[in-house]
Amino acid sequence: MVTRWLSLSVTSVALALMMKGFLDVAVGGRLILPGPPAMPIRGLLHPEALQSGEGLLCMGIVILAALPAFRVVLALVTYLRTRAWVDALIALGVLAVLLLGTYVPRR
Amino acid sequence: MFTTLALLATGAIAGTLGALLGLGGGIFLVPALTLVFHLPIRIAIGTSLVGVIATSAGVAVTATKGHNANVSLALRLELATTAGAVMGSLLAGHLSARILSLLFAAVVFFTAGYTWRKTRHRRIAQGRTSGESLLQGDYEAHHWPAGLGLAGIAGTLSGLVGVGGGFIKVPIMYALMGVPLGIATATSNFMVGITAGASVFVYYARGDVYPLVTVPTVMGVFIGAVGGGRLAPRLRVAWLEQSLILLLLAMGVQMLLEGVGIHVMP
Repeated sequence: MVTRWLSLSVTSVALALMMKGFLDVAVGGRLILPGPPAMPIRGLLHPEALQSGEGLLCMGIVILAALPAFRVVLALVTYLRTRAWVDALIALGVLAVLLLGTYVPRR
Repeated sequence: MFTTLALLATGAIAGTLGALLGLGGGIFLVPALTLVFHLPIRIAIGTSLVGVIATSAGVAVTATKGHNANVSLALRLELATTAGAVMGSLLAGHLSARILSLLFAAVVFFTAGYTWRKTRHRRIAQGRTSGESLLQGDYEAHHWPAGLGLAGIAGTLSGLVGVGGGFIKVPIMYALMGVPLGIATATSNFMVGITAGASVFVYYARGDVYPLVTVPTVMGVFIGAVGGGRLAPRLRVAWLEQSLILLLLAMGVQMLLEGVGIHVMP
């Protein structure tokens, strides 16, 4: 079952990053709730962002939040391979809307 | 540290209930985070949306064979639902916390009504509906324009208040579009994650996701969802649904009071 495997792997990676980040923040004495808001996604693209606990926490959240998009991509690939063009187009449309949601200016 | 553990426990309870009852878990998380942890409702909604994705992932991980979602149907409806979800989450940024609380209270009351109807319907159907007919393969979905319109409304509500919206999607597919109940429920479980995925990045980009709140809650949700998914086949959920209705009514009243500016929780 590919969907199950995908869900399990993506979630495992996300949870591992979250746990590592959480330990870093807790050990560093920065575990004061609610803490700062999540870093912008663009900021996470810099390698140094992943050296901080906060960066790892955000990366874990972003990877988990992207899981539904990965599932749609999986469906799209399946439809393309079986030449179900209408279904593939619909999957592409859903992906486009999901991507649209990421283009929102920060308050 | 105590608050972090409390968030983990809250997430675990929401995830377990979500997996057992076929809900995303957001319906429990938002009131718990606002009323018990006194977090602003937008932060609660942002956290809840990540939680809904975790529940959906947990359910997918423990899904049993034969309870497959109709992915083609799900994606067709998701065209409307995700568009509604993005609009709803953008709109949520312009609404006051009070209006969001009132909207949430309305959604909670609706969910309580839906759960009550579902419990009654299941009792009536027992004995005359076989498990096979719940998952029958020879069906054709109809009433597409109405189905897509209502799916769009479900998505907008999901984006506005941070719930998966399964309580609207299942009746749309089952009662309106003629999809067998078992397939409608499995399809809805697949859909709630995608709907939440459309809204969550709007909340994230707006600065309404706080990692130190979200991470322990989501870890709890995932643990609860996996546990709930494994428990579900062995458990009779009827009594749980009845307790859930009472819990939902209590939460709905609390959120309603918050919405009109009366704070009853210490």
